[in-house]
Amino acid sequence: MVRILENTKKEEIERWYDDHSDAILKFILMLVKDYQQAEDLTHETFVKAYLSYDSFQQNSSEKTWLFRIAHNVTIDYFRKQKPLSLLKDFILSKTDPNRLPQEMIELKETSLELYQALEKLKDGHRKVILLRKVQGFSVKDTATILGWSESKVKSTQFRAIPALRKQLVKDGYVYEETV
Amino acid sequence: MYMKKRFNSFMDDSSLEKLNEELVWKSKRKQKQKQRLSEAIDQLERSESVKPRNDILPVKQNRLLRNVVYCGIALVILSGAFVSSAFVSPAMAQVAAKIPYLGQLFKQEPVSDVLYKELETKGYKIDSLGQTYYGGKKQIEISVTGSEKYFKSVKSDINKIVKDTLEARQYDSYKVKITRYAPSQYQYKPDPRQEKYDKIDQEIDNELKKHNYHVLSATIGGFDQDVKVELEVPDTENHIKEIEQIINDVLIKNKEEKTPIKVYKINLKKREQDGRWGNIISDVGEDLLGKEEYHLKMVGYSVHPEPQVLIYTSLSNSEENKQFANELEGVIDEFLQTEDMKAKIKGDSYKVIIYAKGKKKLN
Repeated sequence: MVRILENTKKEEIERWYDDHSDAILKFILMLVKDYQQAEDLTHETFVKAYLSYDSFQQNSSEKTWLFRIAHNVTIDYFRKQKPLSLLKDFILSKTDPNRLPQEMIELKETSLELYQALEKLKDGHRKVILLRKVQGFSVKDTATILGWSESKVKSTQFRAIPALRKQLVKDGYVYEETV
Repeated sequence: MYMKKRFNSFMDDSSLEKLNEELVWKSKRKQKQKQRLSEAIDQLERSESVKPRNDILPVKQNRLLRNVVYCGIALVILSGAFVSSAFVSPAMAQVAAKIPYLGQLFKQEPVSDVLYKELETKGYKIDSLGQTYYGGKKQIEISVTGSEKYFKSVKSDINKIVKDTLEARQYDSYKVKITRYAPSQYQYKPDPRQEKYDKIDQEIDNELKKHNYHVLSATIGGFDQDVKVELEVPDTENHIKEIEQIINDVLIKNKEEKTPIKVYKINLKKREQDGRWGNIISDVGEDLLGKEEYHLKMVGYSVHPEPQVLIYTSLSNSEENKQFANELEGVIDEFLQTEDMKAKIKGDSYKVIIYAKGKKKLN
């Protein structure tokens, strides 16, 4: 291996950051449910992108590639988490459902319920909805990002949307009879 | 009594799309994180450049580029993927084959050093200046400090000086890129974690000084899950366990006891050789990279197991180009046999390897 001087790689990563960090941060945030972690993992995603830049093949878009890294980074994060912090996370999520630091990230009132309902979905369901519906990735790209087959993406999506509706009903955000 | 709870009675795709817009990451925060990323990349580059593992590298790390951080010029590892990136047209390769004779190489000061001195003498406010190579694109990059107005007033003059200097050397492969350095863009608030690591490094250093061990360096750092202490010792040092113990004590004191220590055993002779060949390659590359006629993308070297000069060309793998490569090898060899170079080579045996695009050997 040989080292050379260059400048464009860093510039390119920074350009990608400008274009995609928002989407990546939100995606990760809704998977890990913790803003600080989401920020760190987003950072890690772009550092990894920098480190493996040379292996980036042009056969997927950079956005898909970045999301794939983000997804892997998130999985690693969960793997490395200790049971205790998982427990802490669980308790936190029970007691403080809306703990987004307002000065850093803001969620408009009109989407709050949807956000909270999504948080309660099963991992797989949530991932597919976030990628397909919120980010608008194709089935193929979603499959690439998650490392799933396309048919798995389709069938999960098929179940995920009704699950989300059900969650919204359960939370009482749809028409509901109350006495 | 019936009461309607609010909205979202109908959840559809548009409400999901809206979620993306309605979750707003504050741009100030985003910028802060961008800065963090930028810092991290700079740090990576720096730490990569001193890593003992692998056959190390360089080409032209110009000391004038100490401001490298700010103009975003990076050191990277050249991967196979990069080397194979196609870029020369078959027509150009044809031309290459027809070159009958390659001129002699001369030992010259790097053109960026010469330029920097000249521009400085003439009073231009230069932040940094360097030769950069990426994707086969060769550039002289200059970053100018001062106001926008100043920048506009000097840009074309600087450009002319650079062009003239390049021409005088018959360097026709460089593009010139002149940008303005705006400090405000790069202000960065120190990261508390980095400050903590700096403190730990200092403590490790202090503790180690109390003993008579031979430690080349010991620093803590890394990303998130990957934080570790990197310890470099000569491979002749027999007290690694003791050194690790000292470091561990400091880690415990700072509540970093879980941080692993990674030991690099350095062969000092190899390292010295590595440094020497880094210089040699820099001399070899100066003329070769400056002139189109050599069809070079990059030069490199390795000292493992023995010194090798690696020449990456943009040529295709054809018979004619093999002939060209043999001729080129001759030119390089001749250069390495000059007294100047012999003094640096110190009798090391070496090989010159010339690659076509796609990393096929041409000679």
